[in-house]
Amino acid sequence: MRWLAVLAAALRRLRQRPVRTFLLLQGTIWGVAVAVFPSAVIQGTREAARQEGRVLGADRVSMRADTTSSAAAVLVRDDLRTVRAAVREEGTALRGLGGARVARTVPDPEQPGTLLTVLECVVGTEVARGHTLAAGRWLAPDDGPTRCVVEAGVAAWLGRAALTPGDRIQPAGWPHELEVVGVCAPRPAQALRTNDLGFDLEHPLYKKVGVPLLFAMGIMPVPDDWKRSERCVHVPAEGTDELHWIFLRVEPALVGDVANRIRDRMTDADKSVVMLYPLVLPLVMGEKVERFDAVNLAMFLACLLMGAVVMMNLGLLSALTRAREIAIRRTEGATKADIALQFLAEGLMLALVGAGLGCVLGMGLAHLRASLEPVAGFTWTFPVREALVAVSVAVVIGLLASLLPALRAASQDPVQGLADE
Amino acid sequence: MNRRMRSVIREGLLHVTRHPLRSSLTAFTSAIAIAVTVNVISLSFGMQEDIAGDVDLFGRHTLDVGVPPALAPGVKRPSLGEAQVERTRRLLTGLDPIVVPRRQRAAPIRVDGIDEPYRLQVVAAAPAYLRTLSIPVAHGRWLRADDAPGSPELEGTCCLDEASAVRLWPQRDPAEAVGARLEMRIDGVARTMRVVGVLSDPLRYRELFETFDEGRGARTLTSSLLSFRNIYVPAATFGPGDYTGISIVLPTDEAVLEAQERLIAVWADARDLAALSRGSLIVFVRKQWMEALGTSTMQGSMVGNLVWILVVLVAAVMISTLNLITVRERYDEVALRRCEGAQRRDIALQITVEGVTTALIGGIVGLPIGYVGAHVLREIVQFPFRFELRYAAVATGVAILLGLISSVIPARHAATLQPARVLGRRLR
Repeated sequence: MRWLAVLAAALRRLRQRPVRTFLLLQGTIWGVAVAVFPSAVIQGTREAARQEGRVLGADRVSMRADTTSSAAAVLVRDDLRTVRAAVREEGTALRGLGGARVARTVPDPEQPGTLLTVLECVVGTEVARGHTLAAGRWLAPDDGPTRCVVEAGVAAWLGRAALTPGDRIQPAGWPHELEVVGVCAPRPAQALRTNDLGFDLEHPLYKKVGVPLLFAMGIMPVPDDWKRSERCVHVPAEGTDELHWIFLRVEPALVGDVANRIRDRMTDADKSVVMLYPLVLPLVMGEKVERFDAVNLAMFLACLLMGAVVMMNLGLLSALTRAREIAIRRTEGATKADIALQFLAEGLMLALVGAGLGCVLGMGLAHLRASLEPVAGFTWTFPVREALVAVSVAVVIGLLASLLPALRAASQDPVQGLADE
Repeated sequence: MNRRMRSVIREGLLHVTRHPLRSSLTAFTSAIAIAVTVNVISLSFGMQEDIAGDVDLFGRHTLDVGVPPALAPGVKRPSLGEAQVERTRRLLTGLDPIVVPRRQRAAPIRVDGIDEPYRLQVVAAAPAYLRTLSIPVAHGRWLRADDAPGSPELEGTCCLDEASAVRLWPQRDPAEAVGARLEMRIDGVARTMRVVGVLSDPLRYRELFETFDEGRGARTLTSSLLSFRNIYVPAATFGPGDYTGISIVLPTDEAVLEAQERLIAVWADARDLAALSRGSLIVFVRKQWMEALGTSTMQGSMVGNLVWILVVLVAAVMISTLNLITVRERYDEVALRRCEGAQRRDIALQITVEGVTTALIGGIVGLPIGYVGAHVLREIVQFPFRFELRYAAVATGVAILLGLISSVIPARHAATLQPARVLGRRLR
């Protein structure tokens, strides 16, 4: 009870001068915020990539031939074998592998710029592209050239209310009718805004920051609207060996490594290829990003130390200015320990309040940081462990900082304190 | 400076020494802020400057004509052969250009003593290719017109980027690569090449860059060229076939602009996505790319600057609060000084002198702390933190500014004090 009373008294004292208290807390607030906010973004983004990897395309890698090479720039079915071997080299599990040739693009006469794309696919391509099935089944090895799996937007493009397995369609210019055997589920809006490099194309900063950054990194834009159009018709690749694209899906944390391994193996096989995969998520998922922990720790300690020094300074000052109050309390029967406790309690309250506000500010910064990133899946969460550590360190430093003022206040002679006045 | 001023300043300095513990604690706050400032400035400014310098070697007066890095579905790859080289020459008549076509592939390279081949970019071009860069040859010599191109039967000649030499012979000094032999596999046929020269590495932060370079797989051969992990071989090493690109060097900035205009009138700007659907050749101006890189690094360093500005502001707010509270304790002193004839501005000046002196002392103490911090962080994070006198000067300026900012409100507060009211309350 006595403890509670002391703490309540300390809190009351801080509330007497809210502005001053708030200003003095700046060091603790920013220190804790700096400690909490990077972890919030990293953990949140990692969780999002793991849980929504499929939706965000965080687990997808696509490969095409490098047109700038002076060697023949054609991918063939045989390359799928090289890819599979490269992925499995390190025991990585393949979540899907497929390849497709863009056999035909049909422009919509009523809506310029919108295309229907017919893809000649090897078996498994729909899954490798990250699709899920709404009705029917995927293409199977023995499906003849007259079967197809359609994406969710094809029905609307053809002017029909819906397509169901068994329906027949014939894209303009296609030599024969196709029987629909499967219909893909519509992809969420987020997926349709995200390109192969993992950037959110509708993010306000994509054009302003994202594209120039990619240009600076030597990564050029790829015309890939058809991939997000929801208007692809998958037909079995009969008779064609050439593939324009190879698609695969692996664990999101591994996409960067896998992509580079495949590129090496393709080079060994005399083929120059370009790999497209989310560029930022693997960096956030990997351990490299943790190299920055030391910098964050330095900032955290610098802010906290500044806060502590100022708190100590103020504590010493208030031990002086409150000499009369202390003396009166001593004559009322308060022991030295009581006085010291009162000062310590004030330090503790300052640290606790500062750390709490710091957590709130840290989350605000994390939200701001995440919203400024034109990368899909960049988000934040509350990092419980890091926040607890930061708050504990802040409290310990706060207590240490109030130790000297507490000792000084306790050792003051009450007679002297009253006589001075 | 008149006597009155001097006495005010003396009074201010005296107060700093009168409370050594309090002053040193305040100075310590300033020291931490300055240590952070000097660290972050050295990192962000230093790196930005270095990168700008490095990039300048990549060919400020060089343009490239090439095949689009990607093509829209159904679009044919435009050809890039002798006809296009001739056309480029014709288009640039009068601008005094050096036009060097190059063929480029990625190939596995083996040397004795390693099991796993390394994949490097092989650039086959005429000796004039070196003119497209401003990078010096560090060891040996550059390629000559009479160098053997290399064939399955005959040993060829090649030059390496320093990073390629380091990767192929990690245990050796790059200079020792000159005279060494390597095996290059192209079109399934191995050929032996003798190294005659090594180009300096223009990337000072290669290790850092490569550690965080998640995008390397997404780069085309043409853009990989500027990672400088290449092998340069005589033009005839690759058989006939399309070129990968044409590099053009011009004598002046004006000529680059003029050339860009003339080439874009025929072909497309590299940043024009619509060109990919047309299948046109693209024109890449290295200077524009350097500027884009400059903007990106500047944006990065701006974030760094925000960090130290934030720390300094936090320090300023806290020191200011502290000073304000200290001033309250000194009401009597201030009132007495006013009665003695000190003017409002004298009081303000005194408080400001106190603030600036404390912050400056702290700042000077903060410099060595920053120096040690920079070294510790360099070890841990392997970031190129470094310490230069210029940055120390900036940090000292920041310390003075910190003192000024943190004294503004307390000085105003003390100066506007009514001596009669303070002392009246006292004497009652």
